Amino acid sequence: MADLNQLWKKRLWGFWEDAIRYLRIIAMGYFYFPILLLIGLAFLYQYLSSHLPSSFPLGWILSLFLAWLLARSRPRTFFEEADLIFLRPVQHLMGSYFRKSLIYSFLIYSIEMVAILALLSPLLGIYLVGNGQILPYLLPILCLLLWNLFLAGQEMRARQPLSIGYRVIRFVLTLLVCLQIFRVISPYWILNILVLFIIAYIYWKKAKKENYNWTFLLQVEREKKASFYSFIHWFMETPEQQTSMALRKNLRFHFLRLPYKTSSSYFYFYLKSLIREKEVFFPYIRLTIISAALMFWQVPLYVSLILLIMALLLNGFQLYQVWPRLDSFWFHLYPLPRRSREDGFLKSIFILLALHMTIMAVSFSWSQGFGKGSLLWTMGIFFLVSWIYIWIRKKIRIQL
Amino acid sequence: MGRPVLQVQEIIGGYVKGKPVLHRVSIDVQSQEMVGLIGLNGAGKSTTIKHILGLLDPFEGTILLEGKKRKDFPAEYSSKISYIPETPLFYEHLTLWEHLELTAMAYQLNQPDFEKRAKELLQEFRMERMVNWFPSTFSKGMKQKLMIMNAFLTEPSLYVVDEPFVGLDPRGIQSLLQMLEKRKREGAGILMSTHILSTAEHYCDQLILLHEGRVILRGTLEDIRQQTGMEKASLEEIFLTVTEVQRNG
Repeated sequence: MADLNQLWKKRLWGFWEDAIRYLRIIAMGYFYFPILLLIGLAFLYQYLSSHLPSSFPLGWILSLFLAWLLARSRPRTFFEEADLIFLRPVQHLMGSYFRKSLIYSFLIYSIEMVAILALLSPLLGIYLVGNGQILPYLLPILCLLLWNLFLAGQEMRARQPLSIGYRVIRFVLTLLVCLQIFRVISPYWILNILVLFIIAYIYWKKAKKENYNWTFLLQVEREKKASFYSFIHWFMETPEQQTSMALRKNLRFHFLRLPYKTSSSYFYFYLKSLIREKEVFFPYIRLTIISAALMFWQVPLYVSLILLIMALLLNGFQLYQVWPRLDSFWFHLYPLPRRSREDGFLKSIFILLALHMTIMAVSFSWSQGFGKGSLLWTMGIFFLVSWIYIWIRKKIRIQL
Repeated sequence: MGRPVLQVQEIIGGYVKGKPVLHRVSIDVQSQEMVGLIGLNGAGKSTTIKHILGLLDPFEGTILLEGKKRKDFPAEYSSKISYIPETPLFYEHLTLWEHLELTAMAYQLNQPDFEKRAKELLQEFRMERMVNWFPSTFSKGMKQKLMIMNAFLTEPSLYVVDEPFVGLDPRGIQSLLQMLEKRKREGAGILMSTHILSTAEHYCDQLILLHEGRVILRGTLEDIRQQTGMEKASLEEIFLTVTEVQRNG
């Protein structure tokens, strides 16, 4: 079984060789602009954090966020579709593979946890009980992470993916422990250890007789892979990017009734595609909501303008990255001028970003008055028109 | 005798200059005519089709559609061809109805005509129920039906049909053949590449046998029988004999 023992190493390096290639390109500053945006956001975070009220419920927010993150943690297996045929029959010999997968996932998630706590460390001492050191929080969080990963590993043996009820219970238990870690509620460590240990034992006892559910294993791996490449997607387009569609039946695009004419063909295609593709539209919505919420803060107009431009750049970057991917064989056969494809794409991006910008401006008007809001909106439109129709047009024209 | 729709004149073509796949291939398709393009795998059928569609440019020779070159009238040239690919190629972001709608927009169909025609096609291919589904959820046959409906939504002068029967159920095959026949009677020319030789024998007015990038036989079935001296043979028998002889030199 030498091959099976080598398999984990092979898969792990296979993934990381590819990942390092992408990360190196990002780190080398080849795609410097999004990095600058992130740095700008960090400055803004610092500015906003100094203006937070003293009663800011950081413990609750952090507990909810970490509990959500921990409860959805799952081991990364690096399985491929063909493994359903080739590896499933020998899964009883793969104990070491699964163990390595658990250890690897624990290490990766641990780095994530350390990064989150390090990022928030200036706030920990101010809003939480204690002297702001990371270690007292980190150790129990890592134990909780291990518990969650162990349970997730056992759940992969379930014949059917576990119902939402199980997931809610796991989340609530994780949240309860997190609240104790951040001293939002009084800790009962012995009770915690006892309850968590008993649950883990019951899971293990029940699951050990079952084989792995390979359909579920592959689905989890697909999701994990997709989430990594969606991170890369913020910086560049990758062939590994997986896409999933949502029909958005409720929208039906009535609010965007398009004129039924030849010149609308590409606009019709791109607007629908961008709205339907989950990997593009969810981040768009997320960023729109977050940036609109940030506009409620009473900050000087120039800070809001920087924030607005950064949010539009971030959203614009991820929208425009889809250009090479949203190509089709049929585009080469349509009796349409080649430039009309470019126009349709830019118009779709403009509509989505103008909507984003308008929501931000409305939220800004709410807190700072209509006059300032209108000014911000006008500046935003001016920025969008010049950025999309000059800069992005130039970028995509090269690739036509 | 119909008017010339497609004239492929002595083209030399392929993917890499200096390594041609097609060697002086000529094809004529008249209006009200169905021409069958047959040959073994790798004979050059798909490459020929790519040149006709304008996806590849010939190294030598010319291709005329209703007397016009693609280079001179790109939009007009494209609007006169409908293509049914061998492998269904669809937009994963659009539903079945939206595929039809996009085609109608791109080919300048007016909305009432489009809706009438689209509904007839959906009924003919029994796809009304799937109208708001994404094609990625379709079976292979359904995906092929989507390609066929798209092609028949417009009324071009030339239909280029590449292995259209793969995955289709018998009723779907019958509907497709009937529609091709109907469009042929109405004046269109059809170039069909297929491995189903009995269908080619039955439906095609002219046959072209491609082998290793060269036309080795052309004409009606009668002409081909005479050329090969196999007077009572079926197309399949002729095909097998000729390609075997070619293989043995």
